[in-house]
Parts: sequence; structure tokens; C-alpha cells
Amino acid sequence: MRIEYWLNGEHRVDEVDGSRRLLDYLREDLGLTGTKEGCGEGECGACTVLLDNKAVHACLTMVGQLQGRSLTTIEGLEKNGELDRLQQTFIRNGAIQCGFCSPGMILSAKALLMENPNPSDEEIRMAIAGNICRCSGYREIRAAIREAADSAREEAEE
Amino acid sequence: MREELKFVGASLSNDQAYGKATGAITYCSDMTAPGMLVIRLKLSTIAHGWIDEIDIEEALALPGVRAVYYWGNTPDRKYDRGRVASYEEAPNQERLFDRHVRFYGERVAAVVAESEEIAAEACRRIRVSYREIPAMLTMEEASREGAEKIHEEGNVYEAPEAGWGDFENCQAEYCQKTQVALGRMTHLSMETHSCRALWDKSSGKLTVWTGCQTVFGIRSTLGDFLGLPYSKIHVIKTAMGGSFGCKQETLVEPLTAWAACDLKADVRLVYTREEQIIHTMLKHNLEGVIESKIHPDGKIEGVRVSVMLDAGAYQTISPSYLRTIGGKLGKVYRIPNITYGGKSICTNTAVNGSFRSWGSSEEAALLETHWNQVCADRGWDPVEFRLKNVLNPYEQDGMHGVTIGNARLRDVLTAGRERFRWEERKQACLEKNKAQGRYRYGVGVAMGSHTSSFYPYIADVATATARLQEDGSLTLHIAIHDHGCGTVMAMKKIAAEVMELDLEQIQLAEADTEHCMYDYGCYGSRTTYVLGNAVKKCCEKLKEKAKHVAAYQLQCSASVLRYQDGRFYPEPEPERSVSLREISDYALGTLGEDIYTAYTHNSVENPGVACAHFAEVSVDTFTGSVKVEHCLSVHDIGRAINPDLCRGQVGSGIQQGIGIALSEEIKLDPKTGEVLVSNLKNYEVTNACDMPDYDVLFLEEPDHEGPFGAKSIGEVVLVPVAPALVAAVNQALGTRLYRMPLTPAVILDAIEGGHDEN
Repeated sequence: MRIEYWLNGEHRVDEVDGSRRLLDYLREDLGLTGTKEGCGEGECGACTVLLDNKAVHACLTMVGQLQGRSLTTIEGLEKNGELDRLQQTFIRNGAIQCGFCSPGMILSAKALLMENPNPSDEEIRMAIAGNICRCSGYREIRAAIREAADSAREEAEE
Repeated sequence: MREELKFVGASLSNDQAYGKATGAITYCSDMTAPGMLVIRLKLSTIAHGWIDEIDIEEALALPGVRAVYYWGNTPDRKYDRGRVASYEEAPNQERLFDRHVRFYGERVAAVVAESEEIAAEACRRIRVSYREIPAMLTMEEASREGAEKIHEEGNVYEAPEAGWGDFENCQAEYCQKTQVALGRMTHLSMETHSCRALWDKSSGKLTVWTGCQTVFGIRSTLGDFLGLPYSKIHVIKTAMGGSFGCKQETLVEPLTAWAACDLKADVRLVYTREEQIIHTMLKHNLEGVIESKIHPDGKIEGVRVSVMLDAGAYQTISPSYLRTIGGKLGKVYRIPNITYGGKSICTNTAVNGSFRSWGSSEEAALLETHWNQVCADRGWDPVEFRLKNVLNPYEQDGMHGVTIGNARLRDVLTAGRERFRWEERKQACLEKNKAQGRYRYGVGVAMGSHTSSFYPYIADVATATARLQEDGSLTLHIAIHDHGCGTVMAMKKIAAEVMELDLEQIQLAEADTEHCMYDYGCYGSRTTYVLGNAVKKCCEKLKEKAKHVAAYQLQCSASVLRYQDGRFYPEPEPERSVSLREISDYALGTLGEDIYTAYTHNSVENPGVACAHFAEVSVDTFTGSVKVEHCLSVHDIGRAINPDLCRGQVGSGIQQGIGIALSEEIKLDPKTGEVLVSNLKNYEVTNACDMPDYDVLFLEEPDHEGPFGAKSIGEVVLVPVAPALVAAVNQALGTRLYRMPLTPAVILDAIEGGHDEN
């Protein structure tokens, strides 16, 4: 089928098998391997991407669902050579270890902050509850999200 | 005293953070290339039996299929996934494929095809008929007299009795024995196993990419299995999405490499989560019995420990793992009489293998649980009891006859007791429980230790090479395998500290058999202590070499030269300084020398890393669920080179410890041996919502031999967590539940049944 959608801000038209997993389309057809497969059943969050700014599992999404929508993958966060605020705070807070959960974790956090720029600690925990990190106790990750939210607010207030 | 340092201890800890935050870094499973073939596996659906017939014709006929492998067309040659050094003796029981099927989920065939879809479809078209024989799914069945042999050597390996003194006849009061059991669990590295192997026709060379812990171990295993000179095999460590021990062994490489050589092709194998759980390896389930004799004043006189370790269908590392559990018994307490013995038993179940801390967490689960039971029975405070018995720094580890180094066992207890407000919390729990309400509260403590090198088990050497580049920057090589915990950055910081160079001036890639000198691999928590020392001393030697060149260049005695920020100058004339770039120019262009060094560090020390974990839990007596209200981990780390990532690792140890104690278990069907939890849906891993608030305390008393005082952290973080949680649950309920994990079902059963398991 022919699909039209926006990939990391750019309009794109593609001829695809609409029933293909979005995860395979991204990794194999487009070479966007930043989106990871951790379980293939929507349990670990490693394949999280943003569809119209909402976090979804690329392993449970079909390519046909892209029609007319806007898709953001981890590759699309860095703008004009500058990392997204969350990418910066993740690095700064030691929230990245083996890194396999990081793209999905960062995008789950991104979806949260776009919808709720001032989340409570509980809301931060909830937003990443579907993203498993085995290398940490989530503390550095939560601190990174907190810092991104706080610093954005402080900047807006200035 | 702690030295003030510029790089060591600063928080810039992950060398690959940019690549990981942007998705730009390439893990092995991300690798693609034109013409690359992929492998998919056909796994057995029985736990024990023989393959009667296997029909591969339909699979082979599928367009895009390049090969179908099974027992009939692959070598009848054995290898051992656990062998690390080429000279090491190992059980050697595994083949690529075998007609004898030994566990549910064992590979019975593999398809190599042009795409994952074709390979998967071809796997479905392979028809296998089995002749089943009764499976022995428990250690008891498999070790019974006359039990069918899973391997010709038999099912049971018995460890030689270890210890000292005479437990049987030593004089003190006998304490009731404790029976502890641990369940199977999955390592759950976020990235599953993967490997790429490329046979290059022009050079006749095999290149293997793998997110592993030992490139040289893999190389020698492949070389011997494939009959290739080691020098013709190039193993490259790729970025790794976590290990926790599951990538320590040579699991995926033999098949991938064999297919690459056979087809003269570029081949990749990436496991699904289900395949990783049922087919690669799990954490050992075990049963242990601990007995002790203790004086009325609380001094330990003797301990006897016996362990039955379930190896799964292949012994692999299990005999060594079993001996290692015993080998850890002398690292924490002063015990005049110790006896250790045990068996590693092959069963028709998934293979169990290396797990983070290699015996230390098992040892702690046994011994610490026993001490907590003894303290509960006698009304002793478990912290006070331990304080009476812990070793002092530099005392002997009786099992190995070497010192425990500057292990601060006493300090982790006293510092933790104060920080956790142990007494206060303990009393508060007792107070709250008086109401006999729905929620019961308890506190628990446990401690432990771990290694910083292999000494004295084997000679522990690591070699670093350093080359000064023409512009004064530095290229280092050492066979380092970063599991994601920042060890590459640790090495760079050590080098930067010695050379007084910015981190950007230092290049250090991960392990690669063609570029790096030999190394065993990164496990046993030896990386920082042993490899770090090799890097430090190599850089010191390089600096010394540069100094001699500078002395020629400046026409002065080397003894008057001083070094600062990458420049040498004669002390009396600081204005006459030369930079490393100028020194390199002079060496290459005038003296006819090159500035490089290789240094082999032979570690003859192995300091213990003391740890203690304090936890408070609440138990919901209606649902059986346990909530960790608060916990504290105290670690005697020597010196934290990457403090932020060290704290991250403590969190990870707590998460896995909660899994061992309370929630994570891979269950098998008791009749068929089928793995019942083969995905993450029913696997209870602690997520961000359930993770408790935890506190971390590092005691940084520098080790005299460690690089800038550092010891180890990566594995010890797991060691004391589970037994502390189990103690807290038992204190809350007044029970003796020692079969982990203590799931809600187990706890409800104990509450409703009103009985103890032990």
C-alpha cells in the first residue's frame, strides 16, 4: 500500500506492506536501528516511538497505521546538531548504561513532557513504567526526566 | 587519605553515552550488510528423547533458504561454552546439534536464509519426530541411583570437600539447620544474544562480531572447534545491551561461525526474547543446607554448608560455579571450622549458567539467611552478631590462604546501621505489628563480599599498550569489554589522570583480538582493578619514556624534569617546556625512536569489597504481596572512578535482588519440562513504579594497590540484597520462609497454612 506520513518532521511517501511491523520497517527498510527490539510483545518498551507525539510500541504497531500521521524516532530528536534536552539530561545524570533501553526510555519521557511539562514524581514513574531498564534502579533516569522538566520550566520563566 | 584528582571521581562516565542517547551506536543486532544471511532456530518441544526423523526437504525447497543444519550434516565435535582460556579443562559436552535431545527448547535444527521471514517460515516447515524417554526434571530424579544418563559421564558432579578445621567435632552449641532454595531466573539483558560472522574468501579469514565478555575465549573455542589457527579468527566486541553473566559464555558464536565458514558467507544470528529465555541459559536454581555451631557469646565456631546445584541439561560451568560458592565462604567471617561440599546435577531442563557475582550472591543467600535465622531464634541483634564475627582488614581468607585486603566489613555494618536508623526502624516495626493488622512490617540485614581479581585462583594478568601519536594524543589498547557500566570511560580517566591529558585526547576502543593483547575477559569484577592497573602502569611507563626523550631534547638530566598538563620542563627553568607533540616530533625526526609501551600487569592481590544491605518491608497479609518500603546498600568500593554509574549499578543490584527474593522465577511444567514463562508478560521484573526508594552509601577507603585506590562494584551490588529482604519478610510475619522467590502465593500459603517451609 501507499502511505504518506511525516518521519522525524519530514514528509514521506512510501510503498509498503501495511501489515508489516513498524519495528521491522524502521530497522530493516529505513535503517533506523536506534529503535530496539527487546521482547517483541510490548512488554519492555525498548521499541517505543512517538506517533502523533504519543508513545507507542513499534513492535505492536503496523506500518499501515502511519497513514497521515507524524512519527518520531530517536534519530529525530537531535535538531541542528543539538541534542534534545532529555538526551542531554540523560547523559548528564548517568542515566545511560548499556543503552539498549535508552531510546525507548527517552521517547516515553518525551511523550510525557510534551503532554505534561510539569509532572509529579509519581507521573514520571508511571510514564516509564512500561520501559524496563536492567542496568539501574531507575533513579538516575527519573532524575534526568525531572531535570529536563525543571530546566525547561525555568527557561520559560526567564 | 583520598587523593584529589581531576578525572577520577568526576561524573562523565559513559564513553558511549552520545551514541546511546541518539541511537547512533551499533549493537551486534543492528548490523546489516548487503548479502548478509540470517539464522533462525528450530527448538525442541520435548524435554528428553531422541530425534527419530527430521525432514528438512520442504524447508530447503523454499526460495531464499541457503542451508538447513541438523545433527546429520554438522560436525560430531564437542565444545564447551564455558571455556575461557585455551588451556582450561571443561566438561565439553555440547555439539552444534545432537540426535539426543536433552531439554525443552534445545536447538534441533537451524535455517540459514536471505531474510528473517524466509528463515522463520522454513523453520516451520521442518518436521521432527521424536522418540521420547522419561525426562528427569528435578535434581532428585536425575541423581537417583540407576537414573538414565543425560551424558555418558553421568548426571552428577561431586565437588571435592573443601574447608578447614573439624566441624563435626568442634565444640559449641549446634544451631538448627537452615534449608535455602533459589529459583531459576533469567538474566534479562535488554539486548538478547546476537552474533555476526563473516568468512572472507580473499584472506581466508573469519571475522566475528559479538557483544561478549571475552573475545579471546571465543576465539580459542571457535579455533579449536572449527580447526582454524587462532590467528585466522578475528573477534570484535560490539556494544552490548547488558549481560549480567549471560554473555560471558560462548553461546551463539559456534553456530554462527560454523555457518559462515560452511557457506563462505556473512551470517547473523539474533535471538528472540523467548529463545533467550528457554534456549540460552538461566540463573541456577539450587538447594542448600547450612548448619553451624555458635558459642553462647555469639562467636561462630563452625559452619557446614552443602549445595545441590541444578546444572540443567549440560554441566558447562556448573562444577566450577559450585566450587566457587564454597570458595566464597571464608571472605566475610572469622570461622575456625568450615566444611563445604556439594553436587552439580544435570537435569532435563534449560541450561543454567554464569550469573552476576558467580557464587557470591548464592553464598550470601545461604549463609546470611542462616545467620538471620539463628539471630531470630536466639533473640540476638543481627548487626551485633555480625560485628562479633566479621574479619578485620587484611585477615586471611581461609579458603584461599590469602588476605582479604583492606575490606571494611565492620565499617559497612556500623555506617549502614547509623544511616538506615536500624534500631529505630526495627523498634517501629515491632510497634506497628502489635496491632496485628493487615500490613506487617519487618527489617532485615545481610552482608557479603566479592572479588576484585582472579588471584589466587589463576594468575591474573592484563596487558595494555599505549602509543603516543604524532600530535601528542594517545592511543591505548586493552581487551576491555564494557557491559554498559562505563569501564571504557574508567580506563580513559585513569590514563587521563596519569598523562594529564583531556579525555578527548585519548582513544581507547573495546576488545578486539587483532589489536589487543591477550586477556581472559571482563568478568569476576576484575576490570577496574586488574585492567585499570595495567592501563595506569602502562601510561606511567610511557610518560617515563617520553621524559627520557625530553631530556635529550632539552639537554638536561631526566631527574630535573617535571611534568604538568602534557608538558615536560626542567624544574629550575619552567619556561623551557616541551609538549608531547614536540617530544614526538623530536623522537621520530631526530632521535629515530618511537614512543610506545606495552605493560603486563600481574595482579597478586585480590581485595574483598565489603557490602551490607538494610531493608524495611511491609507485607500485605490479605494479598501476600511485599513492598520494599526503604532500603540502603553500603559498599566499600575503594574509590569510585565513575561514581554516577557506580550508583546506577547499585540500583540494578537492588532490582535484581528484589527479583531473586520476591518475584522473578522461570517456572517449568513439572510434567513436561516445558518452560512456562517464556516471555516477559508473566515475568515479574521490577519496573519504575515498583522500584523502592533506595539509599546508597559508598565508603571510599582507598586500596593501596588499586588504580587510584579503586576496587570493584559491578557484581557485589547484588550479593546482600536478597537475603536482607527475606529476613525482613520473615521478621514481619514471624515465619521461616527460605525458598526464594517469596511470591505472594508462597506468602499467602504460609499465612493461611500457618506453617513454615523449613
